Amino acid sequence: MKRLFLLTLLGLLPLSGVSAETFKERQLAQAIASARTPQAKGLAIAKMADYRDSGWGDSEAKMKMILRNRQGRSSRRNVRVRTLEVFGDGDKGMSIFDTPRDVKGTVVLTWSHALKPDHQWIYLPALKRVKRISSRNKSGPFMGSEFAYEDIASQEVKKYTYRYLRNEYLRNESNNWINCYVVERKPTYRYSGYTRQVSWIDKQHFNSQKIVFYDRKNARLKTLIFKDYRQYLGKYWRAHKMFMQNHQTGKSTKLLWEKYQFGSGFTARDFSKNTIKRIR
Amino acid sequence: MQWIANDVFVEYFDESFEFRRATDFATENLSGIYDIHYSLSAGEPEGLSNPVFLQKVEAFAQWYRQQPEVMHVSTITDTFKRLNKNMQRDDPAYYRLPEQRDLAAQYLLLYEMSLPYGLDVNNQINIDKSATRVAVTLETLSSNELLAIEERAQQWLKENGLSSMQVPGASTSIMFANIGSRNIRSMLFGATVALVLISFILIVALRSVKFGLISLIPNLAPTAMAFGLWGLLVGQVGLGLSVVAGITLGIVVDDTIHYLSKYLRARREKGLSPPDAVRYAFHSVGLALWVTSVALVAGFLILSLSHFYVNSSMGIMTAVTIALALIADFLFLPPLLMKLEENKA
Repeated sequence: MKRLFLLTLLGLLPLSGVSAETFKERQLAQAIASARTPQAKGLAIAKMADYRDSGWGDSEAKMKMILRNRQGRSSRRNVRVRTLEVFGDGDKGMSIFDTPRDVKGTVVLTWSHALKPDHQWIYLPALKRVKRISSRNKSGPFMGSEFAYEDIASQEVKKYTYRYLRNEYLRNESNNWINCYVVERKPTYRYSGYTRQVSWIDKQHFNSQKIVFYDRKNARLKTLIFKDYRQYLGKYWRAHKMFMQNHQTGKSTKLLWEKYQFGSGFTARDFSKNTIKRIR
Repeated sequence: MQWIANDVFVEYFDESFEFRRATDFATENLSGIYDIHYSLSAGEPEGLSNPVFLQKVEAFAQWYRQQPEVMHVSTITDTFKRLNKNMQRDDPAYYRLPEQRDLAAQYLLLYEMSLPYGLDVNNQINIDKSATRVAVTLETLSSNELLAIEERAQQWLKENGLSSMQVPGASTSIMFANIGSRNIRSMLFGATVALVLISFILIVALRSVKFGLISLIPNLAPTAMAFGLWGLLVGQVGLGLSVVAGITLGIVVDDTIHYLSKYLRARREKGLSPPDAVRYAFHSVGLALWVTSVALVAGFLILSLSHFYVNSSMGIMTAVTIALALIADFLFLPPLLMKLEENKA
C-alpha cells in the first residue's frame, strides 16, 4: 500500500524541470504530513523552516532598537547588523553601533554555535581594543534589551527538541487570519534561560509569527511577535518589526529593521576578531 | 516636641519574635534593613557617562561612606572603576573613573552586554541612562536619626551637587519615618484641640462659662500627667502612644461630665452647698465611675503583656491615663470646686 502510494507520488512528478530543490522541499513536506508522533512532526516543521531559510549567504540591515519600561519611558539605539550564513553551525553576526553618540563605532562580533557557548568579542573605539565577552552568555540580555542573545541568534534545528501541538489561526496586523502550526520546542543548550518556547509558524512560508517564552521556572516570561515580513531574492522572508514584551517586568523592546541587503559578498575573513577594529 | 516624637520600628517587636531576632542578626552580620535611595539625575539622556556627573556621584557616595551610621553604599561608579581597571589589564592604578565620556559609555555598553540571565542595569540606571541610583544601607536607626542623616545629605547635595542632582532620598524607611513623626505630632495636637473644643461645648451644655472652663482642667490634666510621667520614665513617644490621647478622650471627658452635671444639679435644683453637692455627686456617680474605670484599666493593662511594643505601650499609657482621670475627678476636682465656690456657700 505504501509502495503504491510512493509510486503514485513519483508518477505525479513532472519528468522534466524537477530541480533537486523542489524534490527536497517535497520530501520535507511529506515528512510533515506523514509524521506519526508529535515529536517527529515538530522536527519536520523545524527542518522545513530551516530549509526555506538557507542559502541566502550574507545580509546587511539597519536596526532601530527601542527599549521601553513599564512607566513608558524609552530609549533608542541605531545599529547596523551584518550576518554571514554558516553551514552546519550557527551564523556569524556583527553589530555596529551608530547611536547613541557616545558608543558610535562600537562593534560586537558574535559567532553563534548550536550547542556550544557562543564566541563574542566587542571592540571599544575609545579604548581601541578588542575584548572577549563571557561566553556562556546566550541567556543574557542582548544590549540591555528584552531580547536574549539566544532569541536573535540563528535558529539552528539542533538547538531544540520539538513537539507539534496543534494547528491554529493567528490574526496578523492587517487583520488577516494566518494558518499556523503551533510547535513547542525545548532548548538543548544547557545554559539556556528557558524551559520551553511555544512558537506559531505559518504553513505557507514557515515564518515564525509569534513565540512565547517560558523561564527556568516554567512561568510565562515573554512574548515575541513578528510583523511586516518581506521577501528578498524571491525567496527569503525577513520580519521588519519584532516586538518583545516581558510579562514579568512590564518592559518591552521593539526592533525595527530596514534597508535589508543581500549578496554583499562577505566572507569569514570579514567576521574575524581582527577585522572588527577596522570597521566604520 | 521633636525630641520626644520618635520611633525605632525594628524595636516594635521584642526578642520573642523571629522577625526581630532575624533582623538583629542580619544587621549585626550582614547589612541593615534601613536604607535610603537617591535617583541622581545627570540632566540629559545618556548623560550618565559625563565624567563631571560621575565624579559628583562618586563624591556623594564617598561622603556617605564617611558617615558613622552608614553600613554600605552601592553606586555605579564602583562598577566604572572596576571596569576601567579590568580593561587596563587589571592595573590597580586604573581603579578610578574613566575621564572621557565616550569611554565611560562604551564601558557601560560592555557591562550591559556581559550581564547574565535575568539581570539588567535598570536596577541601577534608568532606561535612557539619564539617572543612577545610589543606595545607602544604614544601621538600625530611630526615625529622627534617619531623617537627620537625610537632612545632612540634602545639605551636602545643595552645597556640592549639580542642579540636576537635587533630589530627596526615598525609601520605605524614610516614608515611615515621615509618616511616624507627622502622625505623632498631629495626633497629639489634634487630641489637645479636641479636648479644648469639648470644654467649649460643655460651656453650652452646662449653661455656664465658669463650669465649662473648670472642665478644661480635669479634661486636660490626666493626659498631660500621663505623658509627663512617660516622659520622665521612658522618654520617647512613638506612633503607638500618639493614639492614646485620642482613645482616652471619650473616657476622660465622660468622667468629667458625669461628675460636673451631678454637682450642678445638686447646686441648682436641690440648692445644696458646694460641699454637700460634692457629696451628692460622689453618692450618685462615684461608684459607677469607679467600676467603669477599674474595668477599663484592667482591660488595657492586659495589652501591656503584648510583645508588640505598639500594643504594650499603648495599653499601659491608656490604663495610666484612665486611672489619672479618675484620680483627678475624685481628688482634684472636688476641692477645686469647693475652693472656687467658697464664698457662695
